[in-house]
Amino acid sequence: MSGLEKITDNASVSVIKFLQANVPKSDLVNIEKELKKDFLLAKKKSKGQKVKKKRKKSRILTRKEKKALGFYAIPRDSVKYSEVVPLNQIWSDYISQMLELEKLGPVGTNKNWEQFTQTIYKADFHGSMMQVVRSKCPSYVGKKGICIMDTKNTFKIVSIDNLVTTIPKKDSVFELYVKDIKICVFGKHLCVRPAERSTKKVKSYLHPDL
Amino acid sequence: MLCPEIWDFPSPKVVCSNKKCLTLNSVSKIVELNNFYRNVIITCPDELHTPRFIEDSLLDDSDYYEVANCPLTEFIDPVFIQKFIKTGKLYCLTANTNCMIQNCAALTPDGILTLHILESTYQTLGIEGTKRPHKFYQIEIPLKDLKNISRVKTALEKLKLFDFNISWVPEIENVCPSSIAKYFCNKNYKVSSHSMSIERVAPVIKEVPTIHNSDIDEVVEWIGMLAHDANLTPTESYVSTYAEPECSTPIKTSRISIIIVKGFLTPNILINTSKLLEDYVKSRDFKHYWACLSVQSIEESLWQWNTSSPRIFQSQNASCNIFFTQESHSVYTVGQLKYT
Repeated sequence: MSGLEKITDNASVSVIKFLQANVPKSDLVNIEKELKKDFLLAKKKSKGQKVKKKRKKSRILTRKEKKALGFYAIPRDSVKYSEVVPLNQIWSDYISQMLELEKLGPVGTNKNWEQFTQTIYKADFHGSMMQVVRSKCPSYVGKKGICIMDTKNTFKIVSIDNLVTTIPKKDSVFELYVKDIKICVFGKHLCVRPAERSTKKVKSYLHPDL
Repeated sequence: MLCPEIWDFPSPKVVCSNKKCLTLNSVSKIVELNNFYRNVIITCPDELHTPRFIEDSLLDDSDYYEVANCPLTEFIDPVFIQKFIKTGKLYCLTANTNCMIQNCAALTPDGILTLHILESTYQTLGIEGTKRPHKFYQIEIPLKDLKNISRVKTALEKLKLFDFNISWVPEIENVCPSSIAKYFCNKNYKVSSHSMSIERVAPVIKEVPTIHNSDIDEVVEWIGMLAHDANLTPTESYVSTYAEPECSTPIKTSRISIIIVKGFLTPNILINTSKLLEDYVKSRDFKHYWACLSVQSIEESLWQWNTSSPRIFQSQNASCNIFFTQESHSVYTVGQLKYT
């Protein structure tokens, strides 16, 4: 009767008393043995028992949410030119290293020109000093500053008098200044997001007119 | 393409207009509508020589100057604006520029600098302009109240140098018009002075048709024939089918005097001459006497056809013929665009 001592709840105790009172005398010894039997079903896990560990989903903000938060809006007078000048320095060094400007031969030699233009296309323009030299809209011509944001269709630049201007790429021609070299690029060839520009292929023929 | 048609170009459209019963005031307004004239032809019937005072009004004090290789930035200089544009009438036009293929510029007495620029150059300048036919843009810069001087200056520096024909009429009487030449000379530009060239024609005729009783366009053609010293009575109709205008009451005289004055003519000279011609006609006692003043436009210049059309640079050929009579005046204009 050592196993039966462990059961303390009233229901089980009354069941055992009932069994001891009513089972034939030859079977009194077998009560303990019978109660020890375990049913196979008990070993199987029931569905309700396991608590699923909740998967931590990383919440990415969609573009609409980002726009609502003001990710892409840079107010007109929020960025100071002096703060961005070091960025321009970094970009200058980065681009001269990428284009190997020290070893630059005469412009237009076929052997290196393709490679050169491909590198410029795939480069990042954040921090570049750029100026609009030609545009279908006359008010954009002459705008000069450091690029602080590069989107699919526009450049945001901050000019020397701390004004942030958004310039659409499509109908303008930009000149980038690197050390003592000017690079002239048509905006309409750059109408791709910078992330995609570094991976995607360049079109084979780009017409050089607005 | 087997046989492409390369000869079937339509001829330029010619537009004529006729205005009658005008006063000297309305005639002056018509002349002043445009600023740049190339030559003037004065016809005086019944004269051996054109009256001296009429010739003098055209030749005296009517010198114009040509400034070579001048940049446009000279015109936005505040000193220049103060001295010449605000104190008189300045007429300035680029010389020898074809407005279908080259950039042109003009300064008019209302103080507006008008530029006629090719589209790709206009896109590099950065000043607002309006679109014109054949891929050109027109920029108008009001010099009398100029804003954004630095922006305009950087834009004008991008354009090349031009040769200009300049004529200045000062407001104050005792200022000499040649001060503008001296101004440019002091700035070391090559300035050359030109005077009007005059040609006198005295053709032989039988009678003079009057504008009362004949078609005005025939009289205009008749004057043109005389000015060119052409044969008025061709015997053979193969070369010329010209016939003199029919008039029931012609002026019976065999004398007529024509002068052709060429140069950079400005409206003020023409208006003075018109006044004198009107007085002269009134002083003659022939019935239906008339005198004619014909002006031709500079072909590649800023031109406005009438008050309802815009003033634009166009390759045109226009002639305005003013007939002065004792009662009232008539104006017959002919014009065509050189390229359609």
